[in-house]
Amino acid sequence: MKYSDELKVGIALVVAALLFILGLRYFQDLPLFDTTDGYYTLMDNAAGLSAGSAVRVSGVPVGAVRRIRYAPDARQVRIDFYVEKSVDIPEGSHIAITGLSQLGDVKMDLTLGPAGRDLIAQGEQVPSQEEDLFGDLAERAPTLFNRADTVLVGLDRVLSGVSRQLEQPDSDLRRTLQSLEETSTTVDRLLETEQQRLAATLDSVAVLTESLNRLVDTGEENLDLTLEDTRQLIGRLDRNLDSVESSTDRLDAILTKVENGEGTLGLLVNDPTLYHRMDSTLTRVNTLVEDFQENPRRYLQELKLVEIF
Amino acid sequence: MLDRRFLAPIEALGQYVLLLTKAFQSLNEVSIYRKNLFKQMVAIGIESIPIVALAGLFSGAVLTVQTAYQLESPFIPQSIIGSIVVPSMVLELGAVVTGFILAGRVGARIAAELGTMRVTEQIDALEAMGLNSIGYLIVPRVLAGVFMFPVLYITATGVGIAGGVGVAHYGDFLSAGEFVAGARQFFSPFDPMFGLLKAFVFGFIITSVACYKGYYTGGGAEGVGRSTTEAAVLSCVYILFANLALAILIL
Repeated sequence: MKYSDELKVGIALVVAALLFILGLRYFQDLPLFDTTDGYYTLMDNAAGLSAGSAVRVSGVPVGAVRRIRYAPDARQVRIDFYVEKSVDIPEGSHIAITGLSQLGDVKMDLTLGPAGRDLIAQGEQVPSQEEDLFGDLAERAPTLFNRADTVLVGLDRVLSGVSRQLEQPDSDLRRTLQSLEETSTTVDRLLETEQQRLAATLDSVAVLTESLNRLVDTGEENLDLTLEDTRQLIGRLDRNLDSVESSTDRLDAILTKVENGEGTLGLLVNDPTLYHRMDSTLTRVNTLVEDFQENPRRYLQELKLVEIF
Repeated sequence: MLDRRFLAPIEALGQYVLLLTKAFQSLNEVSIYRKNLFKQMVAIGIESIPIVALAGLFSGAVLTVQTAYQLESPFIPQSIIGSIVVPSMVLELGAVVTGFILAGRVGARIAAELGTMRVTEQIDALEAMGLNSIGYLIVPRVLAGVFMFPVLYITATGVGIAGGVGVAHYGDFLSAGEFVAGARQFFSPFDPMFGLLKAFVFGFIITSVACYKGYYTGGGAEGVGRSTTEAAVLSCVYILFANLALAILIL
């Protein structure tokens, strides 16, 4: 079938126009065929927002910014935006700019008011809420930088003072460092000279440890034996102690008897007559011995054992 | 002789402007060029769609692959590729690639057509028959260029972006969703308008320069060849200048 030139051209133009409009809407993140509602808001600072930036409700894109311009009479920025028709904006809703303008990722977050309230009419103002955390940071950055600067200047001064001190040959710091160096040199030298002795000491310690070790190894059996002997000894001692105990008991009985004056020993201990007799006997023996010393002849004449002559 | 050489370009400019003035004066004589206009629109516009779409497809695809190659960094989100490819196509490549192709395809064709008519004295014959040759030959061609060039621009840009998305998606550079998300992030509705404006301007430059070169051809078959070459080359040069001028003036 042959089409007329007019038809071909017409079709091309219509298709191109459709493609253009739909493409525009598609990349603006608009519904391709649905209509939208327009609103506006006033803010002090547009903060990197641009036409086409998304408008989101609970993180879901529902619209976009149509136009941003400065409103001289309000001395504020007027932001025109639109949202899908299905999204109703009740009274009490507010809108805020979020995202990082440095990353080009600036959006508007629409927070809807409680359901059931009267709706904000199309083309009317939605109150704005400025919660510009990063803008704040950016504004405060210069003072921060200044403070950092002063800190750095102070640090600089300190460092230059230190370097001046170091440059002067008579400065305290320099002298301190020098003596520190000397000290470390001395310690070094000391360590060097003592090194041999130290090594020898350590060697002998090692030997000692080794022999101790060996001793412990070989002594183990002896120790066992000794322990066994000791155990036997203790057993015997135990038994001896038992017999000592019984002896003591018996001794006790004997002593009790002695105390009561029973038996020979008891009488000996308790009856003083033996003592008196012995005393008198000894006194007499004494006089006899004295007499013997004075007059030995009296007794020796009679005491001839063998009479030879 | 020296001042003649200095004055020649200015004389040519004057001749060009006068020709266009005469053409615009005959704009309201619709009946003269109406039939011819649609013929030219088909010849200039509809028949150029395949080659322009092909060029757009490949520029979009190549741009995507090369952007992905250049941006291979863990700190840059992949979606940035979409943010670069789409505005590049919309602002620059869609219009300029189309312009260059049409400078060769359409500019040469118009200059050769009109040059041959001039050389074989067909234009004189039209004039002798009392027909407004400018209105009959030049107006429909320039109008066809101005009307159809935006169509070709839209085709090239659309197919180019589609090619970019296709290569990104099936070449495992980034998914179509990421690509579109990146494109949306930095999309400004003004960009396509600017591209469309460029398309109008380029369409006008190519067809009017070609018509001028063809209409004032002289010197037989050799002259026709020279006019054709000059039409194609000068269209390209003026497109470049116009591109820069528009970017500086409007962006």
